[in-house]
Amino acid sequence: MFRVACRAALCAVVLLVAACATAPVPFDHAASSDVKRIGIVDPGFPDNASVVLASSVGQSFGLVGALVDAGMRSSRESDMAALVQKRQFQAKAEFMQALHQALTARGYEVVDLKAARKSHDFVDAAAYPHDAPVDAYLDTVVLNCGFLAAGIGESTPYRPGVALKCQLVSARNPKQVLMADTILLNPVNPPKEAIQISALPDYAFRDFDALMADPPRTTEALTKIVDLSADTVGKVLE
Amino acid sequence: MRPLPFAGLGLGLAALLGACASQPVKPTLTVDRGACDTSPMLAPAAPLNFDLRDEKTTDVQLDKQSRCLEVDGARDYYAVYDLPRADQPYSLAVGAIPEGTSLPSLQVVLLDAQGTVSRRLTASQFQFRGDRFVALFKSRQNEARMIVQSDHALVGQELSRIQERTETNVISGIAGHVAFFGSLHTGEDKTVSNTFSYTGRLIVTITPIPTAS
Repeated sequence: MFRVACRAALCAVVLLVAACATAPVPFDHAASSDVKRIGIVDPGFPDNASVVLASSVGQSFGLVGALVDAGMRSSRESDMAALVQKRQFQAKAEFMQALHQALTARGYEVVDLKAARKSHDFVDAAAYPHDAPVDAYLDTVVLNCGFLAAGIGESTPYRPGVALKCQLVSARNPKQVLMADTILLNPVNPPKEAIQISALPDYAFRDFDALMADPPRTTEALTKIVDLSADTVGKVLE
Repeated sequence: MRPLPFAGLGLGLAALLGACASQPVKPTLTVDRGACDTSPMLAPAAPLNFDLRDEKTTDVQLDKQSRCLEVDGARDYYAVYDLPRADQPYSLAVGAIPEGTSLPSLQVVLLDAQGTVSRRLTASQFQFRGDRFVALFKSRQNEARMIVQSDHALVGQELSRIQERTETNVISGIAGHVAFFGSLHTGEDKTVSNTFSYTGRLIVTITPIPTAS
């Protein structure tokens, strides 16, 4: 029971982080024309796909309701993890591939870099690999990746969604942030600071059973949303 | 019989409020004006609210009273702003909030002190941030003025998006001898469509960007 409560608290924290976007720093390509080679720092990425019901009956019943909700969410996410594993879908690898594509298509050279990261946050400025031959570090933290329904019932289907934050940091001066933004694909009640990308209309699943009933389409939906989120990171660097 | 006068008063108030309710905003699909400027008039330019320590917003209505510009037979309404001069960089978010079915189609032109165009932000640079459809960009030292104008190429086109929302309503009441109090959580998933318009309320937000220490 305690583990379920902790998990519920952690989920709440992750949702809060997604909701509290910080003020964005827009990228000025012309002013940063010396940035040609970008080091993609190994992104923060959740272990499993999330399956979130943004409003439920349980929320009306205090802590007991929250615990029940957390238990149900945990069960849904275990089933989703099994489905994703069976389909051999690797969201992080897909994201990295799409990010490479998004940046090279926009004229950047890219290099993969490793750096120590605190969970769900950017790498500390001092921890970027300073000896790497790059002009800037692209630091991305995917906070949520999975499916989300605004409520229960057929009128609020599960749709794929991603929440991420990203920043581009100068390699010459790692305290200088050249770009910072939050990107939310299919958000609920989005904050005004974050880029909001509408859900993909072709991917709507009536309920959780419908998600589980069509594994190829479920993983296809995840692929599309992960690719779109990576491309949006590329777009803010145009 | 006593409650009747109050009921009558209530009905009267409701009728009055109904009559005062604003009409849904529809998109403006034409520029109904006589002669338009053939090049933008850069003076007078409106100032923008600015504070080195905090985010500041300026609202302007782009409407049938705004200046209009005609280039190659295409007309647009426009507004001109003086950009704040500051040593510290700042971000500008230029955009609008959909009203009714209408969403202003916008483009932004930035000019230096001599009036030479430095850069132009068009449809592909606009995105939804919360409920605002905005272009977000960083200030440049050489830029002194900004023209925000409608984008005739977009007017009449439709933009659809899926909106997900949740709502919490507090409920309370008395059933027999038992009082109850609680909250009801509901969700909504709907497709919203807006048509790009020549007019609407523009919002310009300036936020200082902290410099590297």
